[in-house]
Amino acid sequence: MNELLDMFQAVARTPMIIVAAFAGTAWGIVGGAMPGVSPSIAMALLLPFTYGADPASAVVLLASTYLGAEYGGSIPAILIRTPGTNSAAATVLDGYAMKEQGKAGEALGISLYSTLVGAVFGVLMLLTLTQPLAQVALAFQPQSYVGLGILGLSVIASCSEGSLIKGLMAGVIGLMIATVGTDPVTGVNRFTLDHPDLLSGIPPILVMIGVYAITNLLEQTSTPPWVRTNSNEARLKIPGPLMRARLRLSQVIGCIIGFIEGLTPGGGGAISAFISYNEARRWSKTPEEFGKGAPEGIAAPEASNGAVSATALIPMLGLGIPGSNSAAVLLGGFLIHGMTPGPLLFTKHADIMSGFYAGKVISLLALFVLGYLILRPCIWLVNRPKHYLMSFILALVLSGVYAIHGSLFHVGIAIGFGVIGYVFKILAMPMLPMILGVVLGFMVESNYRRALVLSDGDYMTFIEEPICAGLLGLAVVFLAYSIIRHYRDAEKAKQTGLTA
Amino acid sequence: MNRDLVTGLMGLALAIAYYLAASNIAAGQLADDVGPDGLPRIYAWLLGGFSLVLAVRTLFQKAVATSAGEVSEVYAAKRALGIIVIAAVYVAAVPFVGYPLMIAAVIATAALYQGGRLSWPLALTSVLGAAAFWYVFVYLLHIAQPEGIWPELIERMRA
Repeated sequence: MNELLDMFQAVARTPMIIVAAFAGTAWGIVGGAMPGVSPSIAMALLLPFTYGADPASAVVLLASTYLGAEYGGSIPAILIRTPGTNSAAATVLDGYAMKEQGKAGEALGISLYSTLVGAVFGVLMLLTLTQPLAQVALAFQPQSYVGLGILGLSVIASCSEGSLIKGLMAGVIGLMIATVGTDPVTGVNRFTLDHPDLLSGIPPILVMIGVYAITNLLEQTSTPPWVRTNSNEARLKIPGPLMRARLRLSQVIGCIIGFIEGLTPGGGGAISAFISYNEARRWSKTPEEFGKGAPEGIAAPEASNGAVSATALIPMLGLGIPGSNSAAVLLGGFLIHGMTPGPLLFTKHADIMSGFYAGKVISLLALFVLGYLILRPCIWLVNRPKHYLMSFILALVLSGVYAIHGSLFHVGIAIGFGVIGYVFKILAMPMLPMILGVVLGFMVESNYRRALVLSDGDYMTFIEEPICAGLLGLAVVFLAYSIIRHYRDAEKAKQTGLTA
Repeated sequence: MNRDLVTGLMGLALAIAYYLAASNIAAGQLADDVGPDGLPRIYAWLLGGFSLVLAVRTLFQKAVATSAGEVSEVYAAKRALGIIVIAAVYVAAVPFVGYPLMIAAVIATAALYQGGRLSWPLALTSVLGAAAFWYVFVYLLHIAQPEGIWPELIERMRA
C-alpha cells in the first residue's frame, strides 16, 4: 500500500513521467515496427535525449520504449512476414497465416492484448521481487561486489550466441575498455594517450550507442529496402470474451516462460518466444492448427515478450547485472543520471525508483491506448523510403551523442565503437559480453583492490566473506551449467546436421 | 582466410599491444599490491590465451573455401565504409561549417548514398530536417551545437 502511495506521490512530483511513458511507448512501437531496429537500438537512439531530462522521466522513457518495441515488432511480422524485432520471429508463423486468411486486424489485436497481459504480469513480478533482492544486497562489503561482478561476468557464457570462446574474448575486451582512464586506487592514468577527454574513462553510453545504433546503421547500408505495408489491412480488432477465454492457457504459458527466461541472463527475446510457442502447441488440444493461423500461436510468444520486457529488468535493477541488450541500455540510462543499479539503488534513489515503477504501470495503459491509436501513423512512417529514415537516424545519432557531453571527441568515440561493433558482426563475435565487461569492469577492479587493501593482501578474504563466497559459488554453478548446455547444444546441432 | 582464424589472430595482436601498453603504466606512489597494471596484464593474458585457443582450434578444423556469402560481406563492408566517411567528415567539418549546414549535408549525402535520387524533395527534406534538428536540440533542449565560423565572420564584417 505504501509503495502505491509512493508511486502516486512520485507522479504528482514529476508529471513528466506520464509524458515519458507515453512518448517512450509510442517511439518503441514505431522503432520496433522498423525491421532491423531492435528494442535495444530504439532505446539507444533515445539515450542522448534522456540526458537533459529528470532522472525518473529519463528511465521511464527508456523502459517504456522497451515495452512498446516488443509489441511494435509484431506489426511487420503479421503484415509483411518480416519480424521487426528478433523476439517477434515466432509471431510470424501464425500471425502472417492469419493475415493471409484476411484476419490481419484480429491478429494484431491478439498480439496487442497478449503483450499487455504478459507485461502486466511482468510488472507485477518486477514490483514484487526487485526490492527484496536489493534488500539482501544491502549487506554487501567490497568483497561481495567482487563476487557480484564475477557472477555478472559468468553471464557471458550464456549470452555468447553459439561461440563460448568468442564470448569470453568479447567479455575480456569489454574489461579492457573499462580500464581506460584514471586508476581507481592510485590515480595513475591508464591508456589515456594523454588525451584529457579520456581521463574519466570511456562512458558506457558511448559504447552502447556505437555498437547498437551505429553498427545497425552500417549494416543497413547493404540490406534491401523494406517491404511496404498496405495500411488498409490494418484495422486492429481487440479480442472478444470468447477469444480471450481461448487464449488464456497460451498466455499463462507465455507469462511463466517469459518470467523464467527474463530472469535468466541471455535468455529473453527470441528464445523465450519460441519456447513459449512450442509449449503452447504442446499443451494445445489442436496442435495441428499451429502454423496455419492459430491465435494461440500469436498469444503465447507475445505474452512471453511482454513479460520479458519487465522481468529482464529484475536482475539489472536489483543486482546491477544486465542480462540482455535492452537491460544494458536501460542501465546506461541510469548511469547517465549518476544512479548505479544494484544494492544501493533503492535506498539512495528511493523517490526516483517509485517514479520508475509508476512509469512502468503507466506505460501499460500507454501501450493499450497507443497500440490501438497509432497503428496507421506507425505504418505510414515505416513506409517512408528507407534512405530517408536511415539518414535521419544518422543525423539523430551525431546530434545526440554531441548533446551528452558537448564533445566532438565523444562523437568520434561512438563512431569508433560503431566500427568495432560492425567488425564484431563480421567476425560473428557477440556484443553483449563486451557490454557486460564495460559495465562491470570498473566495479570488479575497484572493489577487488579495495578488498585486498582492507585485508592486507589476503586473498582468502573473498572466500571468508559469506556473501562473496555464495556469489562466487553461484557464478561457478552458472558457468558450469552454461558450458554444459553450450556443448550439449553443439552436440545436438552436429547430430541434426549428420541426420540431415 | 577462415573467419575464426582471423578473429584469433586479431585477438592475439590486441592482447600483445595491450600488454605492452600495460607494462608502461607508471606504478604511482600510492600503489597497492595489485597495482594499476595488475588487472590489465591479467586481461591481456586471458585475451591472448582465448585467442590462441580459437586460432589453434581453427587450424585443426577442415578448411572452408571462401563462399559467396563472404564475398557479399566485402561488398557490405565497402558500403558501410561510406557511412563512416560521412560521419567522420561531419566530425571534422562541423566546428567550421556549423551544425545546421552540416546536419543538412549529412541528411542529404546519407540519403543519396543509400539510394535516394538527387531531387527537389530530397533537398527540401534535408533543409527541413536540419531545421527540425536545430529546433529540437538547440531551441527546445538548449544544447549548444557547434556554430562554426559564422558568428566570428559576421562579427568581423560588422567591425
